[in-house]
Amino acid sequence: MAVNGEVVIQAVGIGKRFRAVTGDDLIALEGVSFAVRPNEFVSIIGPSGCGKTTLLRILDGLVPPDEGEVRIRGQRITGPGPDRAMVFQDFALLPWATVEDNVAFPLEIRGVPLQERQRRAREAIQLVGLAGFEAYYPHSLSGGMQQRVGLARALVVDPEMLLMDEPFGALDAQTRHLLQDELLTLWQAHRKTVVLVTHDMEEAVYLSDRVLLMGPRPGRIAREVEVPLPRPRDHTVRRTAQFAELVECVWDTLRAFARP
Amino acid sequence: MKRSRDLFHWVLHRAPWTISVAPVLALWEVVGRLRLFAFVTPLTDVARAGLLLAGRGSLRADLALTVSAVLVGFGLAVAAGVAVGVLMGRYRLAEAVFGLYVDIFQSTPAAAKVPVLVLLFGLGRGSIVATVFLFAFFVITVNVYTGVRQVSPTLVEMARSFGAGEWTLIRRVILPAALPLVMAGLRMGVGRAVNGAVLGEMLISIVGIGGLLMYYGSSFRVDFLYALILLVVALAAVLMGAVHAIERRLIRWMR
Repeated sequence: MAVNGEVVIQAVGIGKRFRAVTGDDLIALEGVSFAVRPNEFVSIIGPSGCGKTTLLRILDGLVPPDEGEVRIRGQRITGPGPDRAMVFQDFALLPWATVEDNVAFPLEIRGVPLQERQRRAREAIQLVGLAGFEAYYPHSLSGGMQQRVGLARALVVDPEMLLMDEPFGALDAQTRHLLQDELLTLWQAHRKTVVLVTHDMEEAVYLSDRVLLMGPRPGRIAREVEVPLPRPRDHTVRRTAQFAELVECVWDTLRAFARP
Repeated sequence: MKRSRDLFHWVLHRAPWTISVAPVLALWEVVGRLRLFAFVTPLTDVARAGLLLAGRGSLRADLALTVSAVLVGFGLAVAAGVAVGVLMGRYRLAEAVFGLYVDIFQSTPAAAKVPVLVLLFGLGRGSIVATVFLFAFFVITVNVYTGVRQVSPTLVEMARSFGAGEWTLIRRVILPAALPLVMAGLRMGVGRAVNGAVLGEMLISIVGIGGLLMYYGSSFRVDFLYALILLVVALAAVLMGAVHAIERRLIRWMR
């Protein structure tokens, strides 16, 4: 798989330690290696505390790994870059800024002129179905709408890669399903490379081309499940036997980790 | 009957402070008229003294002197307090360097530092402005520091993830997020600045409103003394009200 040119993101032997309160080193990640192909949708799933969020922050360049490296198109990364955009679990919206200003924020950071900023922000807002809410403040929006803003903010910079940290984890089941459908539609229309961190097995199978399963501490990739469900998909795929089988397959592995 | 209840409601909602102020003013007048204490003159006498003072052109000059000392000292305290507060909240090194001094200075009586200021800046305007600065600086610093420490780490991470540098981060995320506490610091700071100006004028060089307070206090003209004290209270109230108005404009998104 790792033929050069076919890989966008490559994690090579990533390790990360944290200093625990006791003074001992806590190994959060150890020898994590995987590769993501262009326009591939990959999910990383694992029990809580397995370091999957830490792994995503390392991929984004927010924190450096203690061992190994992340390569994007063969280049070792040293920090966040314009080719990657993150969607955060708790939305991370600026409470004092309107929807439009929140979405335009990454463009503002990059010094894009005001007019272009507004135009592109409105386009992104339209894309996530929030047209008409440009002047609203985050606190007056529901959780689902807030995460649409978070998604629009990531899309506005037109990144090559989308890194999503349990983006729907804080939402109720109904809203979660709805947003999964919309993300799927969006992704199928505007292909991007996506790495999604989740603890929702059905979400992982429903959206992904491939699911990476992480084992408990120290976090490492324990197994890889290909998802051969046909594309384009929609919610009807959830009712197929193949879908149930894949979820069961993921569940079997995770259940083995949970055993004491 | 209904009329009086409407009036009561209007007062309670529109001007609640009258409920606490009116009885005190009435009591003041009564105690003064009964001559219960030698140095409590009736409120009406104080008001007459206030009008007499206001009629003199010199009061305006004294007030201008005090207000300008407050504004200059407070302005410097805001600039320095916000800068030091942000540094302390953001960097462990700055916290280690400034933290101890801020704690110590904040908990020693400000008046005790005035003689030192006189030695440093002489018996003039410089020492008075420095007194204002010292009175206001620490409360602003501590509030800004606390506000910066409370900024959600997720917002900081979000901005960094989209490529924000340290300066953009401070300007566009840290300061707006810390704004409620920054403004609380400014509101407390401006009150202390008035304190510092009057005290400086009393202890350093007998000028401004502080100078007048010293003069009428030592000549036992209590009616003039009380009128001046009320003027200082009003000055502090007006300045705090101004900061509050700015605060409400800036933090409109909260409502």
